[in-house]
Amino acid sequence: MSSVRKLLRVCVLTVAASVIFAGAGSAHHSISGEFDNARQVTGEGTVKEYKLINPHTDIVVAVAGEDWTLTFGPATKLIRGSGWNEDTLRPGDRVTATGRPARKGLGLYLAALVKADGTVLIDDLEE
Amino acid sequence: MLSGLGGFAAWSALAAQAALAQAPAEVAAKLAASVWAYVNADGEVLVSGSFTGVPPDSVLLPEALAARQSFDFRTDDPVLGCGPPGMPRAFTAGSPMTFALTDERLTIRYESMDVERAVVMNGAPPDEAVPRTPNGYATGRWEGATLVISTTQLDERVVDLLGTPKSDAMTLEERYTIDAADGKTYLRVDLTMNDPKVFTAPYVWHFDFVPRPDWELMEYECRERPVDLTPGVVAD
Repeated sequence: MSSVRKLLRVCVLTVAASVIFAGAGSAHHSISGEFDNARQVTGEGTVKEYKLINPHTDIVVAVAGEDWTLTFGPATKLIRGSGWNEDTLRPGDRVTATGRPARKGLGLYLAALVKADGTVLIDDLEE
Repeated sequence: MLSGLGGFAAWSALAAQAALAQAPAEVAAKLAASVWAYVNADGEVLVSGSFTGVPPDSVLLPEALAARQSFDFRTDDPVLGCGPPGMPRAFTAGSPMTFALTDERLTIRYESMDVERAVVMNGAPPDEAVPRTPNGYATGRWEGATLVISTTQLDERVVDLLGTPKSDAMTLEERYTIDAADGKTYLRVDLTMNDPKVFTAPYVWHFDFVPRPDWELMEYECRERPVDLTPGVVAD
């Protein structure tokens, strides 16, 4: 199954079942540190802040009354490699995110990010 | 007749010298004409660099290995607070880089962490009176078409994000050669770390880069972040 199809399946499940991040499954990835490689979670929320910065881009998303910080790679990677800019996300945008949860606090290292209109912004889910 | 042969030999020597003299200029022009992008072991060109690996445990002296095993990036890594990575870490981030070269000076810029590094090209010997710094004191020279950079006066910090130590005895030698393969141009780099307080023998890293003349280096402008939300260590 392609990563995008897998992501779409995840989105459907998410919308149908939950608006709260909930742990499931496992993932092999080369990011660890303060994020839990053994778990992968998915959730849907509303963008509050979008910081296209280095060394890690942060997106603050409101999920069921709580603020989650979604973290990804450097702005340089997103700008040059994926064409991101200051307008890629705006406060109020609905997004569905999948990734590894922070060991402390409400954080997620992104593996996938999709806007409500279906635009796939990040697709790093493993096969 | 003999004088004729002698003249031919002298002409050949002059021609060889001219070729050697010209080669650095050609290489320098190629180096300066483009951003250079890191190519990883899978042949992927990375748009913003990447973790390039660490020296294996087997090449570390016992004390250095113990230091690395006790390294905690949350408290011990100056880069976490946007401090300078220093050499060779600035290089081994696999960052896109540029070269600006004159007869007297080479300036190498690395996009990641906005590192700018000066290399003295005027033949002056390393000056041991200069203070130790993260990037050290670098001198460059040409060996044929190979650019060779020697670095001393490095301060003590870490080589990578796993905390491989870097002592005050560390010196570096980098060798840069432009090569063509499969119709593509590559910049091949061998970087040797000499540090008898850390390694069992000089440790050599090899890196490949490709030209990206349509790129420009971006300002990195590192922002310090909460440690609880910091991806710290590459696990595999």
